[in-house]
Amino acid sequence: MNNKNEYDFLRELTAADDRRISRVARKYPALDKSALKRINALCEEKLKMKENNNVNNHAVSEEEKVEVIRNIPWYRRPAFTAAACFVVLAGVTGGVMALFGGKNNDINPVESMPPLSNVETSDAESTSDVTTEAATDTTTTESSAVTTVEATAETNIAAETTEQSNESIEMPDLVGKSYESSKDEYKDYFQLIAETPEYNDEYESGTIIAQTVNAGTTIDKGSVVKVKVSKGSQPENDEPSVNVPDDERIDELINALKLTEAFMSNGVELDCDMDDNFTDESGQLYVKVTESGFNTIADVENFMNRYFTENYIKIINSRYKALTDRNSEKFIEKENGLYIHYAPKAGGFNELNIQGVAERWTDEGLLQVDLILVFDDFGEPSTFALQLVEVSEGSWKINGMEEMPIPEYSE
Amino acid sequence: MTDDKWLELLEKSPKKAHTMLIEEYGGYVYAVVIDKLRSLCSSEEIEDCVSDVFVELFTNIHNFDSSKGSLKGYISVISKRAAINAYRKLSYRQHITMSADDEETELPVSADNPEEDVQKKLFRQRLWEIVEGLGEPDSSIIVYQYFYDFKVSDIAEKLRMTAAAVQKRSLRARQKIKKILEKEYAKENSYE
Repeated sequence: MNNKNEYDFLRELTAADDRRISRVARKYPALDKSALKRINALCEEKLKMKENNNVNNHAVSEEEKVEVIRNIPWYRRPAFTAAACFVVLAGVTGGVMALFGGKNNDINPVESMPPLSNVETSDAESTSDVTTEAATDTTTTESSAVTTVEATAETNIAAETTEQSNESIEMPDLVGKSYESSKDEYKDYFQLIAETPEYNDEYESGTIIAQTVNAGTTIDKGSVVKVKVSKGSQPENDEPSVNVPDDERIDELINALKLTEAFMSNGVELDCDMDDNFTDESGQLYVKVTESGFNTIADVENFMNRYFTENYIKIINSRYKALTDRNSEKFIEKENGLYIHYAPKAGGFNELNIQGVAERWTDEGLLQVDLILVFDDFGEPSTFALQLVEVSEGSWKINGMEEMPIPEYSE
Repeated sequence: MTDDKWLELLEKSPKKAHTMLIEEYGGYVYAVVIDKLRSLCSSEEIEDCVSDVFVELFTNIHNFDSSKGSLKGYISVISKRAAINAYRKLSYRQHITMSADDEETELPVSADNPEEDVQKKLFRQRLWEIVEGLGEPDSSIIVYQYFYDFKVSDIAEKLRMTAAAVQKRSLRARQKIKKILEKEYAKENSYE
């Protein structure tokens, strides 16, 4: 019988040194053009996010500048405040003069302005935000007004940027919406990234079917939100995009099939002690089973349940004359072990060769893998499809067998 | 392209340089990263880690000094560090305890049995020779299956073959490798 880990030595290929890794990467590239494109796009997005963070950090430093002003000694603050007020007043005066210039030269610019206390109150916030530079640059009315406006605008931009960086938004429900239009619609709020599209019968191609951030969750503006996008219903002829059972499991299942066959041809394939035997009343010879792990009928049942579905056990019981039926005459359990009905038989599954694997969905929605096996049927090659189903994730069992013509493979 | 040319391009046209660097070194970074993260995360997560490597490279390219080493070496260091960080995060998430050996990027050499280590090294070298000597597409199938841990369906897509054909060729190739090794082992033993 084959050892199920017989190819484990190939795992040594993973313990590669730097030179080998470099060579493998060059000779057997893992990434195709689309993967490289995906990585490039991911990089661009991450770099953009980093850049945004840097801008936000810069905005914080503007805040720090304001903090410097706030830390100015108390005795110097009135001077700055007065200077700033003067700048504002001058600006207003300049504006008024420009508006009424020439029409009423008698207007006293100082009298036409609101009281100083009012200005102080209404502009209190902006005054505190005015930079030192603006506050000191007050030599002429017009130029100071311009400087003030510029300085205030700069401060406003800084404040706005800071405000943006701290801004949180509520995640909308995107399920059922178009990925492309959502990406566009919310581009100013968060970055939408689609994972590998999946088949989905409910939503048409391009529609979002799931999102990593639940609707209603508060997220920071500019966050990355991953979504799953539908690629529509699975076409009927499309191959399932899931893995076939791994080699270990395939080997196990084939060995289980061979052993089950050996139950029929005991004395030829199954390990038995021919010298430990007895004959029943009908003259049938029974020999002791020495195959490891088979000491009771319950061991045979457990073996069957481990590798075969209920459906296939029924088939086995009819094909192999009720192997798991305690009332059958196939096995007799004695105190010193298990005895099997001796019926030597040639041929069988002792030489099974895998010719290929085909995948399809069963009517019940289970993935079925047809393992195409060829065996020597008394000198003639015979092919059949061993039907394997994934009963739970990663767990495969034999569900049936189907004789078939020898298939042709396209390579 | 020489390292200095890369730096020049990064300065002149960063976006173009990024794309070209990913094309040139993407496969290498992937191979370094998968060496650490194999069987621990999905291909998407590995691609994410690869993109992290390049982001770090692009943002810290000013730290690279071509007089001290090659760009590839610099990328290799960043890749290993990123892979180890990702491994730590993932193993923490998956409650896998890291052994001290996992910190090593090279195969740790056991002080107890250096002879065994040498033998292992020689075995790996011979194994690679046999695998590469199989011829295509069998060599690729085995490398993608065992080194990269790709699924049969992914290998089939990559090599434009059917999954059945991949499975069949893989089995034959493995049988062939095993036979060669067994033959060599028997020959060696007969000399002793």
